[in-house]
Amino acid sequence: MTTGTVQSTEAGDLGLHIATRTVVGRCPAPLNAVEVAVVLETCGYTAKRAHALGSDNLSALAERVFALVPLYSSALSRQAMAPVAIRSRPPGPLDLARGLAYSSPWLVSLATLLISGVSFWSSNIAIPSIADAVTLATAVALLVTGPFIQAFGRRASFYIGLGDQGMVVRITRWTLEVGLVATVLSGLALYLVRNDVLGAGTPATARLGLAAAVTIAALQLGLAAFYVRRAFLSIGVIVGGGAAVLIWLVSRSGTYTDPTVLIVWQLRLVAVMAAVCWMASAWWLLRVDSSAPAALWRPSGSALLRAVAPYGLYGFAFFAIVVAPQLVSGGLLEARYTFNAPFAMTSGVAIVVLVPLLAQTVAATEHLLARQFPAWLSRYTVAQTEEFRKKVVRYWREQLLVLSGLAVVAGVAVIVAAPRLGVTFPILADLARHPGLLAACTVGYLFLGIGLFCSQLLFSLSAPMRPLAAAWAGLAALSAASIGAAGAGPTVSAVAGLVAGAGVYAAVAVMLAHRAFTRADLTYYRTL
Amino acid sequence: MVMQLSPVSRRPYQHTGQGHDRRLRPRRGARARANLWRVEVTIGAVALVLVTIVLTTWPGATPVRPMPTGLTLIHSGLAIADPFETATPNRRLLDHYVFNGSAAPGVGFINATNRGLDVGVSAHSGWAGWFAVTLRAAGPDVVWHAVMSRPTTPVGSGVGEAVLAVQSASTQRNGSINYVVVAALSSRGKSTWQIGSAHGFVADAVTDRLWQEPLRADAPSSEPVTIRTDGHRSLTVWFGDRQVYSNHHLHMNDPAPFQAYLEVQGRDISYVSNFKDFWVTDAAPVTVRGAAPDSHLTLDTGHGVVHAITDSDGWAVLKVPVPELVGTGTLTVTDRSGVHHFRHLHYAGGDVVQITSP
Repeated sequence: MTTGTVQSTEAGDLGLHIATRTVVGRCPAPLNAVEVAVVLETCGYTAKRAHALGSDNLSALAERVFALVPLYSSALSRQAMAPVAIRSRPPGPLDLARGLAYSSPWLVSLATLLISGVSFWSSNIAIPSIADAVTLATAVALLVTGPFIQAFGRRASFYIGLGDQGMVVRITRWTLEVGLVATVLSGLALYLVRNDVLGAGTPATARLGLAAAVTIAALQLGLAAFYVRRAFLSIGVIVGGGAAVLIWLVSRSGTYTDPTVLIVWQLRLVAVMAAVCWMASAWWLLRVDSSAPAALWRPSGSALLRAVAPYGLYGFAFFAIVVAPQLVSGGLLEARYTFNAPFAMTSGVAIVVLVPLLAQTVAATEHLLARQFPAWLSRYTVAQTEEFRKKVVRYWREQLLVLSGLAVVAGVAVIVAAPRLGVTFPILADLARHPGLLAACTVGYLFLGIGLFCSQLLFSLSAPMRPLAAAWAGLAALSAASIGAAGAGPTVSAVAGLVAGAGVYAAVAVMLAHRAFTRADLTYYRTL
Repeated sequence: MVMQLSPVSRRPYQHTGQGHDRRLRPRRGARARANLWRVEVTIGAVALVLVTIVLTTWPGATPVRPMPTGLTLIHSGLAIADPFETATPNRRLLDHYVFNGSAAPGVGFINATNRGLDVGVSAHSGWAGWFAVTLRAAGPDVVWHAVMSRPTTPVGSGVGEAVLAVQSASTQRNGSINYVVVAALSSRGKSTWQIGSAHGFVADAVTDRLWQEPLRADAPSSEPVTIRTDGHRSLTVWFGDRQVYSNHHLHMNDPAPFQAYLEVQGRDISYVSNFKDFWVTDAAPVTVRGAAPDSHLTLDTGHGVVHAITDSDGWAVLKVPVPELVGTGTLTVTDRSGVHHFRHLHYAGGDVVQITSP
């Protein structure tokens, strides 16, 4: 901003400073001129008033006010005032590749499984009692930790951004640590029921199941901070290192791998990986520069709970849609559980379709929030809502179209190519015997990916109730379909539940996301 | 410049209106609390690893062997041991064995009673088999032993077979079912004992019969069977102390390590095999250390006495006969100071025992 401009609008200078103080009073550390424009609009500033203050429009006024903000903002606020580049190019292959990084632990695990026949807690040489114990433990770990991970992911980044070490510690305790305690209690309950009440499995595998639930949960919770910090290289080092150790263990076992020895070392390895993740999180990833601010900023426990509860409940329902079919396939509806190898194998292969869908979800979501919305908002004012809405809906449709294209390609690739890989990878040898099951599971997971895509976009708009409704509707549909198909046997019942549950979840999520995007301006303001 | 024209001479702090911003002031002890949390997490992480190690500790495949006073077991050669002398729930057995077979669900069964391990098939038509296979694999330099029995009454119609097989564990990787087998066959009122070598892929192995006793009505229903094989050229089988078969020029192609199959086969009848005193140990002598040089050592196995003289390092090698490689006996050490008896020594082939006090 030049001196000349200021001199020519001498009369408006005081007004500018008033506007700046008004903005800083509402928003102590605006990130960019767009955020300033939004605050100005909410305070009643219009294009006419912007003209009166010597600016062409509200955006121009916002830029001038933004330039003055440092005068009225505290040093702390200024730290957060890094300039934000506003670009609006659509998400490209690079964004998609970055999105793939989110699935890196899973991809490493799959690669290890294909190479050596074993993964971090699964293998093709497990005996029935071990397979039962470990799959049940995995289900417990996923179901219990899901809500806590969602809640942590939502809140921790906020407090990290705020530079509030005290709240980072607090939110970690109340999400990740409580999540681990909850898993320990759930695993213990499962152990007591199976070992002492039902007498199912063997004593050693019952203990093994408890260990599996705790270590798997610890690893998932431990990786949460890495995702929040986007420390994908570190994830790669830890998970890749673990995979290398596992492959070495299997390769040195020769022609025979004792399944009991294998699972013991698998779980101990997972425990070490989890321990490394937790320590790295505490000493490095969750360390923020500033010390704790005044208690003025500390929300009450109940307020915190209200803020994260929808995300937690969503996490539970989402993971229930993933996990419940596995349990149903084992005979849950017949009050028993026996590892269902064909269903586990086909669903384990089919779920790979989520990899590209998840990458597209991450790319579209991050692009929307970090670049696309600010770019649009710098161009449109409140008076141009309709045009803005059209742009948003077009973006939403385009991304959904890209996702659908990826879904078709991924689905066809899995259904057609995966059974042929059985020639190369012995672990997939039986896949060709279950083409119908593979196709049905693939469709189910494609639905799940679409639902996840919509949900994440809605989360990025701070609209958690809609994904929550979609996920619970999906879970209800899954239950109804599974029960309805129970007469056809556990495998059919599981597949019916998966397809129906994921299908309803996707349909409701698409519908609600569409509604949210048609009123994106209203929804977006809630994020600020 | 705007900055120069600004009426503001010093920074106001909109939240407090005071000369400093309270948000910038670290709360007392905040850093210490954060570090305390980090220490908590570190301790918790270490505890997680330790708890996992404890929870995943698998029960041993051999019973605890208390040593007589004055002896310490330095190295155990015993790989697997199950006397099957007490009733044991199947869920405990499944920590060390897998039950499987060609029998339909509900036809095959396994019960561990105080009379041994019963492996059976209930009434059915056609051939049906059931087995308990060890999870642990061992070999090639090991000895396999079990007292195996068939029902005392010979089978009238149909066929019944009690089987002890030592099979290549590579089945897990390549599906090959190559094994050596000792079987008690019973049919048409007569019985016999057979030794064979089988080869196959996934199912229906073809057995080469290597040795067979004549079919007769009064064939023994129980035999203590001991097997030693390298899986390729060599196979030796003892019934009790009697070596009934030995050949070192075979072509078996059973790569080590091996697993033991305690098995039953029945055609058109219900049938039960029984196994007792099952063990697998190193095909090696019992070594005793710590005796004075030139001491005279004996091990009374209950079937005979094995002698050895300690070398200049105080080592003695007791070459126990293969069928008696696992047992309970009395070790006697005779040196210049006198005679020392170590009674109730639970020994096994490959053990290294240290004399800690005479």
